[in-house]
Amino acid sequence: MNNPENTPIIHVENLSHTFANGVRALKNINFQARRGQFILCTGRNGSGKTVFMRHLNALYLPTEGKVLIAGVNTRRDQAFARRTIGMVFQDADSQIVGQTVRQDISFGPENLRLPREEIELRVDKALETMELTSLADQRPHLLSGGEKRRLAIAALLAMNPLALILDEPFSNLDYHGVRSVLRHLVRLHGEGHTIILVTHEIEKAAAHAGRMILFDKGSLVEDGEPSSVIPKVGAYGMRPFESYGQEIDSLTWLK
Amino acid sequence: MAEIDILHYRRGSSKLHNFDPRLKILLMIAYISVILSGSPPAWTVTSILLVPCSYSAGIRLMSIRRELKVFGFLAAVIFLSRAVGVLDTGAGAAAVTGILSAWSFLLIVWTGMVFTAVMDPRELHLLVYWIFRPVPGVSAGRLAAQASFTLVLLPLILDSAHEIREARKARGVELRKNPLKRLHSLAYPLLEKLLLRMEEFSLALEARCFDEDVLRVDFHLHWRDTGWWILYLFPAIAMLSAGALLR
Repeated sequence: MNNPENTPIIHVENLSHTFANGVRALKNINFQARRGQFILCTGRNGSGKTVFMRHLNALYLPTEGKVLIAGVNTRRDQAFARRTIGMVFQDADSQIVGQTVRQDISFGPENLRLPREEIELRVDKALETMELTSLADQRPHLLSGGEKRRLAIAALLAMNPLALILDEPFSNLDYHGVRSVLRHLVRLHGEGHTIILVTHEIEKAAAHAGRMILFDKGSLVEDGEPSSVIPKVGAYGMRPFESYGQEIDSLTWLK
Repeated sequence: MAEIDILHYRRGSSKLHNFDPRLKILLMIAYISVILSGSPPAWTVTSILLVPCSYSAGIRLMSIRRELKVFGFLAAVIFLSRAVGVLDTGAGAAAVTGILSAWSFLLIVWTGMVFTAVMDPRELHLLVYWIFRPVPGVSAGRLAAQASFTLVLLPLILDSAHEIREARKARGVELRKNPLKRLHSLAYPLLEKLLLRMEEFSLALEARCFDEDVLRVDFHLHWRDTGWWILYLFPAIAMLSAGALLR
C-alpha cells in the first residue's frame, strides 16, 4: 500500500502547454517534488517558469500530460490543488483583497469555510509567524514592499498548504526587504515547509536551496544540486557564475 | 508610490462605521436624493451635515479639499457646459447655474467619499447579497462579489491613472495641443494596465480558493443605534421633503 508520506507532493508527467494563440510555453516537462525540499527555480524572462508554476496551483491546466498534487490530478480537483499548493504572485498588490492585514489573511480560510474560531487561530498564528501582528489593523496598500510580500506569505500560511511557491518574491524590494523575506523563507523551510522559489536573482538565495531547476525556452533543461546547476546558467543566457566571484555557499543576502 | 487617498474604506469604530450596512446605504440614497432635488438651501444643509459625517468617517477636511481637486477638472467641465447652455439668460445667471451644478456634483462625490470610508467591502458584499437573494434567476453571490471587489479595486484604478498621468507629464504630454491625442495617451495605457491587473487579481482570487457564496460578516442592527440613525436620517428626509415642496 502507498504511504502518503512517500507520495511526492508534486508529480508532473510529460507536461506541455500551448496557449490559444499557438505559443508553446511548456514542452514535455517531467518533475517531482517531495516534502521539505527547498527548490530554486530559475531561467531567463519568458523561459516558462511562471507558466509552469501556475500549473502546480491549477490556475492553468495542461494541454498535454498531467500534474498530480499529493496524488490528485489537477484536472480532476482544482480546488484541492489550490488548497494544497499556496502561491505568492510576483505583483504583491494584485493579491491584496482585504481592507486590513487581518482581513486579507482571513480571506483564504474563509473561502475554505472553516469555523470562525479556527480562522482566528490561523490568522493569529500567520501574523505571528510573519511578524505582522503589530500591523494587523493596518491598510495593506500602505505597507512597504517587503511587508506586502510577508503579508502574501502569511495569507497562504493561514490556508495550511503543503508547499509554498513564490514567484519572483524579491522583485522591486530593497536590500532590507529582500533580507526580511529571505529570512522568513529560510525559517519556514527549517520548520518543515516545502518551498519552491522562482527567481532569476540566484545570488540572493541559492545558498539555501537543496535543489535547483533551470528553464529555457519552455523546457526544463537542468535539475540537480545548485553546485551542479549554477556553473551552467551562463550557457542559458543568465549571468555567468564566474562573474559572481563567490562560492555557491556564499550566494545569499543573509550573510 | 504616492497613493491617492480617496474612495478607500477606513477602518474605524465611529457611529457611522458601526451602523448596519442597510442603514448606511439608506443614508447615502437619502443624501444623494437631497442633492439631486436641486434645492440650494438643502445643499447648504447637506454640506454642513457632511462635515461631522466626514469627521466621523475619519476623513479630515483638508484631505477632502485635496482629494476633491482630483474631480476639480470634471466640476469645471460641468460648470462650463451648464453655464454655456443657459448663456441667453445673462452672464450672471449662467454663472450661478454653472456654480450650482458643479457644487451638486462635488457634493455627490463627497457623499461617495464618506460612504466608501465607512462601508467595509465585506458589508457591501453582504448587503448586495441580501438585496438580490430573493430575486429568482439572479446569482446574488456573484453580484455581491462584483460590488465589493469594485470597492476594493476603485482606489487601485485611481492609483494607476495617477501613475500614468505623472509618467505622461514626465514625457511632455502638456506640449501636445490636441486634447483627443492627450486623452488617447492616457486612456490606452490605463485600459491595458487595468485589464492586466484584473487578470492578475482574478488569478489571485482563484489561487486562494475564492468562493462567492461565503458571507464574511453579519448584519448588526442594534436598537441602541436607533437614536443616532434617526439623527442622521431625519434631516435628510426633512430636506428632501422641503426640496420637493420648494420646487
